[in-house]
Amino acid sequence: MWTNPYTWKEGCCIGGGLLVVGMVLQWVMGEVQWSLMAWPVNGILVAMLLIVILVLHLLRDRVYPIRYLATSQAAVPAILFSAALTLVMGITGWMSMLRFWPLVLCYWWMVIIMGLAVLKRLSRIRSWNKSNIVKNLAFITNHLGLMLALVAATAGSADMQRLKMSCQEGQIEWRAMDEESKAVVELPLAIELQDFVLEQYAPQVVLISNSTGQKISSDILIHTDSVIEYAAPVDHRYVEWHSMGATTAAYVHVGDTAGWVSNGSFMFPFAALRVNDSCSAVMPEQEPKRYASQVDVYTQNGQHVQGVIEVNHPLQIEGWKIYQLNYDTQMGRWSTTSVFELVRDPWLPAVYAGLIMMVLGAIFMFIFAGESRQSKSEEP
Amino acid sequence: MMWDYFIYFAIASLLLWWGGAVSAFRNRKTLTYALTIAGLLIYAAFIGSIWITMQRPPLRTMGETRLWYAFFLPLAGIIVYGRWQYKWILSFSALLATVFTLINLLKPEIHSTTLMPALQSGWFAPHVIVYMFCYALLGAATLVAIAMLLPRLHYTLHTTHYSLLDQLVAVGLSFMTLGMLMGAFWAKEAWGHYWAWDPKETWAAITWLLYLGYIHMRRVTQKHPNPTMDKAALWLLILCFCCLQMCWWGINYLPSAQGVSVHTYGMK
Repeated sequence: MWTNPYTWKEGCCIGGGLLVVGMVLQWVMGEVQWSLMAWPVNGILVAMLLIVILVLHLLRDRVYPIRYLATSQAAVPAILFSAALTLVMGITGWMSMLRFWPLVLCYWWMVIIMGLAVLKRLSRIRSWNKSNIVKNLAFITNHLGLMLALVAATAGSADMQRLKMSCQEGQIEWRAMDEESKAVVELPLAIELQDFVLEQYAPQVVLISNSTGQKISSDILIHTDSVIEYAAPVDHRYVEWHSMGATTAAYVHVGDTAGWVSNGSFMFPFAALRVNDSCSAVMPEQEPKRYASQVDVYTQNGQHVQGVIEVNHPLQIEGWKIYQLNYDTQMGRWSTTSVFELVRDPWLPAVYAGLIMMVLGAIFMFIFAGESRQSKSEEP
Repeated sequence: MMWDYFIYFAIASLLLWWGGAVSAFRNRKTLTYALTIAGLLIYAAFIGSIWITMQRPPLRTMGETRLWYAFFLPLAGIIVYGRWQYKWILSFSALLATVFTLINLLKPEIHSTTLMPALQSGWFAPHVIVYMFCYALLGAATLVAIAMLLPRLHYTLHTTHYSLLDQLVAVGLSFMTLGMLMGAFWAKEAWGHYWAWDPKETWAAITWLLYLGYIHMRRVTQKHPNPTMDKAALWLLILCFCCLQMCWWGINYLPSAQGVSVHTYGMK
């Protein structure tokens, strides 16, 4: 061990060493405080990391261990150690693993290896030729892309803001709550909720067991006679009623029984139809099909934007993305409250640049998958 | 309901796929292609019909994803067969497709026909379909690895088998990367963040890293031959596939993931 050439054994020792150092750091300093990494600290740290990688690269001819770090030989233990620590998080579900020094150190180890490997490849740019240029580019997009995404995502996490804002129809709101610190933040923008709409899937009638309340499957035929989308109960039956709080009701034939079922609302109770001693027919709450908020957004810079915000369609304005998060579920389709999530992530372009490089890398990997590795023998 | 007819489509496809597998062993190439592709077309016709009748892509419940898996396995099988002429691959893929089809017939989890707003996105279909294809390829790679580890099968640890494995893993991992990144872009649009260490994401990261580990391990042994490490790579591949199962459906049963995952759509 520790004689040239190094193999996976030395790599495992580095990994073990990092685990020990990480445990000591964890013990002495407590968990990694990502929140302390807010700008400009994260900028300085990223610059330092890049300088360290560059300096290591320049010293590589003189120091063998650095040359070793740029090989796939060194990459294997780094990847497997990182995977193993992530596995611990996967099994236990401890999110605090993300602030666990050994895991953080292992990911940095992987980043340094990727950085050195990319620089090594770039330093041999003179040997690139027609036959290997695409493979070299594939190598660089894969490794640099992952490195960029990892570094920008972790360094930028402290600069990311995720705020929750609850808006009432007809009112203007500019205060939001930080989900982590629970602090109320005044924003450089204000949202005026014009209208909130909730569309639901068609109501369904199912049979449940009288004893357990669980849905059961049965051969009893359910026939729906009529459905009233906006209904109110009057004298053991339901009539059309279009005011706030209306419920959905249906007149159904279940086997030999017939009667009304309704899923209720914040104003009216639900109605079940007892079919026999063992089961009843009920109408479960309709599942939401789409919910959306029509808003006016004003910014301090004087911008005014009108738009619709719905799930999967956030609204973007001055570096903020506004997401439809929730509504008053007690009120259901009568909700006049809409809850938004506002996200600002200044490092997102860098992360996305990395992710797009990885997409390209994956396409390259697909193209070259069929080719034999033997032709790569000239590579390091 | 369309699912009531599934058994007829399933039986027809499975018979054709097994016919293809048998004719591959008898060196009847044209017949092999014809039977396997006919089976694929029938299965695809079923997937297409439920897609149309449900008015949404059939990708939400476990039963629906198994449907795609059972479809992609023989597809991956016939591609591998076409490219490298491995006769046994079609038997493997037919066997696995049979297992997944039988699960769907005996224990269908296909109750819900609605699609909640978070899933109504252009990313939905490509994200899941790419993942299912990747799972099929990596499933095939795992079977090859197991065959190579069983001394009775006389699959000596030969380089041609390793190169098949490497190719399957490379294609599988490239699809997995695409699926994962599409998931990240989608998550940013739907949930506000591209990566939130949700249990499914954590297991996706573990699986992805482990396959990456395999690829780098094989790069090392190609330069410095090392039979022990090659054998370790085969075991790693099996571990990878176990983690992949965890990521696919295992987390639905993992105690530490209960109630925290935003990915458990089919389990309500």
